[in-house]
Amino acid sequence: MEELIGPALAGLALVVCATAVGIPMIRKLVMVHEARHELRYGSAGFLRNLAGWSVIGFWLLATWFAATIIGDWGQTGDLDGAIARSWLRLQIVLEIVAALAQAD
Amino acid sequence: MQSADVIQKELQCSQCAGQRIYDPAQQCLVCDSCGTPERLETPDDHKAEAEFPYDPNAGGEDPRTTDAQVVHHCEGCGGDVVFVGASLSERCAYCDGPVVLRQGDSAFETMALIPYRVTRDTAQAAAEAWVGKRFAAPSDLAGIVARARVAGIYVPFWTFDSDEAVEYWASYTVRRGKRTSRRRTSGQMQVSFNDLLVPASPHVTPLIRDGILHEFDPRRLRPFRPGYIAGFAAEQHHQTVAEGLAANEADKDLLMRNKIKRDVGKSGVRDIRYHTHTSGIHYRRILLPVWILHYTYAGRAKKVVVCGIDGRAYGERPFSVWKLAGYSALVSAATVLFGLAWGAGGLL
Repeated sequence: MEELIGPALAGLALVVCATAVGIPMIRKLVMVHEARHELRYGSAGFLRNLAGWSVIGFWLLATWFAATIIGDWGQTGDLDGAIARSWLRLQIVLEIVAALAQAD
Repeated sequence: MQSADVIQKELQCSQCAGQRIYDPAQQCLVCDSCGTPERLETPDDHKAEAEFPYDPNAGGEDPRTTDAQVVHHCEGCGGDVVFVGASLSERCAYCDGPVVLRQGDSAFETMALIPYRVTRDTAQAAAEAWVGKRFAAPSDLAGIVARARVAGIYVPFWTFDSDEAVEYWASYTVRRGKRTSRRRTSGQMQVSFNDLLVPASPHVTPLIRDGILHEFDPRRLRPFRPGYIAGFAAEQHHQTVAEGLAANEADKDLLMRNKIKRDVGKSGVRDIRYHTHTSGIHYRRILLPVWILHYTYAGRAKKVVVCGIDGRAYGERPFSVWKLAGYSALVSAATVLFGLAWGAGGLL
């Protein structure tokens, strides 16, 4: 049970950090939602308000990626091994990040 | 604007000599005293759709007209508005600030306007409904907005048409297996802008325009007559055509780049450069009806604008940091739980 204290605290810290970082992201999400539903489609205001939406994806992916390492650590009790096993996952995350940036 | 005598004659009731104002519900002038309505339509109304050519190389602008009307000048935002007939408010329609009276205004002739169709009560309800539907808005916002009142004002707008012969250069992303590289491309295209609406007043931003004016139907334009603005404030046109075109440059550039991206049709289009030959510029100086609701939240002045044609609302809104934090915590917790389960499951 004691070996789970580290991953649990790390998970909690991750939720707190992600929440703090996520405040402007949620604000952006609301603005994008409002722009999509209320601004004239294809207008300059519509394009300006939608620009930058990919940061929401970056935030979610970064949070998810860090959580997968903590989950692996909690399951195996081996933090170094969890980090080593995350490299392939990181490559895929970076591919998705690049695709999001291209689409923004 | 016409002379005061002509305006007074148009606003005087033919039955009881009372003062008439424009009623959006009946879409005609209505006497304040006896209620007699009078239609303002004329057989020549269709001429209001006419556009005027502009050659930027020819120079020369329309002459300004200076009339003896009293102008209400806002000391807060600098807005200048005029009233036909009796002034209805001692506050600025744009920012609700105090106004001082000035004699005479040098402005350009308004070519046409679209009269109000939405009444004050409908506009007030639309503004309040818009605020009520905001995500993550402060809980006390609806109550604050309900205490504010809408003010009607005709806002000066341009409509611009132009034909653009565009030559562009850009780069895009190419993927080959795990490798990505950039490729250069170039092309030519023809773009036509039709009835691009541009605010001719610094008090209405392009964002508010895109929020409330989704469809512009030039068939609704009417030749300018003082009767249409009786009972409302109006801002006159003070920009030259060249200034109006310059004010639209940033929006036009953004739209052009978006069209180029679509013309290239690849992913990751960047480094766009272009030059365009513009021809066929046509314009109108028009007034469009809006209702503006002012409110102050946390010491900051904000406004919600309602289109006087179809009642569509859009505006400025504050966010509740606590609500944003709450939503953020929910999304973060869900993402972390998903990630924990993924990692614990030994997936990938």
